[in-house]
Amino acid sequence: MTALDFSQTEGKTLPSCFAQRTGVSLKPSYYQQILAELPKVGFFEIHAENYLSAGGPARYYLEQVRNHYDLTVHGVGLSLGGEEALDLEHLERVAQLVEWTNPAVFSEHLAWSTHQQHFLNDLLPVPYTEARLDLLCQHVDQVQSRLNRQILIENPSTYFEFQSSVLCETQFIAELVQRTGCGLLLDVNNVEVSCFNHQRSPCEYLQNYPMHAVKQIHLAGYTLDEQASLKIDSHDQAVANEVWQLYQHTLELIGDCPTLIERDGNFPDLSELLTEARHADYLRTLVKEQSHAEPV
Amino acid sequence: MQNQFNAALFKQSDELLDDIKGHSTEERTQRLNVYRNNVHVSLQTALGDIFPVCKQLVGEDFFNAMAHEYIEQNRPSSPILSEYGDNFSDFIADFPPAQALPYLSSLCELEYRLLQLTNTAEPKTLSLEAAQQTLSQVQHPEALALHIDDQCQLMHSPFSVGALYLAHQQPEPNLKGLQISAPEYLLLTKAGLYGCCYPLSEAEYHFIKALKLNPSLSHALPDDDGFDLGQTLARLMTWQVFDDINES
Repeated sequence: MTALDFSQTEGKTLPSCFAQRTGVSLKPSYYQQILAELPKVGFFEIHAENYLSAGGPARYYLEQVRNHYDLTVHGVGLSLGGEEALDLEHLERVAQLVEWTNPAVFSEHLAWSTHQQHFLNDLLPVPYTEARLDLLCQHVDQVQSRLNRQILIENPSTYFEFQSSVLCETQFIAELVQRTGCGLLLDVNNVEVSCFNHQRSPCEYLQNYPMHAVKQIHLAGYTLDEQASLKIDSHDQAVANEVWQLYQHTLELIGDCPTLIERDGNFPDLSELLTEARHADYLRTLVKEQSHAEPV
Repeated sequence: MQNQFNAALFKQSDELLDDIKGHSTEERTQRLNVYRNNVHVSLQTALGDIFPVCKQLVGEDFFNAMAHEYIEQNRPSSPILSEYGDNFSDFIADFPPAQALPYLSSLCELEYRLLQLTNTAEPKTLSLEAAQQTLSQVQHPEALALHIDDQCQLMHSPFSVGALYLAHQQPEPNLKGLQISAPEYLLLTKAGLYGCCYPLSEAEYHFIKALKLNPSLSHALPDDDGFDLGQTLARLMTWQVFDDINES
């Protein structure tokens, strides 16, 4: 399979705010405050599936926010890692949203969520086999062709591994990038969660990750399960200390990178997310200063 | 694999456990349970967002137990979760533990229809001023045609679910004097960005129903001495339900 060339759609057209300042998730409880105060934030990220209505408050407020900020669109329902063909009707609706919002990036997941026309509303894990890689590549090609842009694929949080996997996750993702030309959304919290759950070293994971393809980073919070033996990617807590440390390590490996503070539940005051965004900006500034200080 | 996974999520089969790495069946089950929990809890949360008044009325524990049963039998057919629950009211009507609250099914139908209205495009209907001006210039009232916007819907419930719903839009719902067993006629339409409901008299309900079938005013007038045309038109113009008024 030959990688499609989406190089013209990446990099040089990135809006400056997205590239320079950390963004946060856009949620209905923040609409009024955002529009009243216009906080200094790089961009807002939306879940595509929450903004596909023809009208109503979601559409209205998105249009208002879009007048002031760069946007990124994060899909959670295309089920790219699934065994079945993509839902073309859904892809079309997502494509129309992407055309309307013209986001800095569109991202989706290395996961599946639809089975026999039933949406399961979770990001379910994929066995890392050659057959599944072929199918995933077809789906990514299909989406990139319809959207006419490079998409970013996010590494998953997983709670178990398949006996049937023949590739490790980083190999699987590297192959995906090489075959499709897609970019990557590196979710650092997912690295922490998955590595903890499978008793691996997150630093080793990052060492093997195809960092050259990373175009965006997600940071989020996790919770522990009842037995405290598994970390759950819950997005309802502040970013944990070890995730901040891993983020800093990631920046040291790849340099500055557009970053999102992701929050999907237990919403705090917006100021708390903005404080986390400022902390990410601070760490990004340190890395930029270090790279400037290094001798040529 | 997906068949096995789907069956495992809903506890119809444990075949998937053989493909999960782990030191023991207990460990493999614990890991699988994270996904089972995620699917159920996220769908319960989605249903709670779609039917907030129902959830408030029955309490979180009862609602989640009811939602759990519903999810076992009805998975979303689309990744757009605001469309999930289209037959939740039918499910509740047949759900034995909810029989003590016979109005619950009708309330859920109302909540679902209002949410779907919220998510439709904002209608281009006549403002109150435009409708008043058009009516003031009418030469031949017998030829008047009142076109109700297609998005406007009617609902007849054997229970006062509109009043119940409206009471719960306040921070402290006041249910004093609410006769839940009284039948109710409602107009469902969009006010600004949101779906909303207005209580109607039975005569108004039949008047609007007739207008939706045939916009001719003379055809739609109900044979009811209690029907006040002026008052009804004033209400309908205020609610901005007309997309055209003309003399046909």
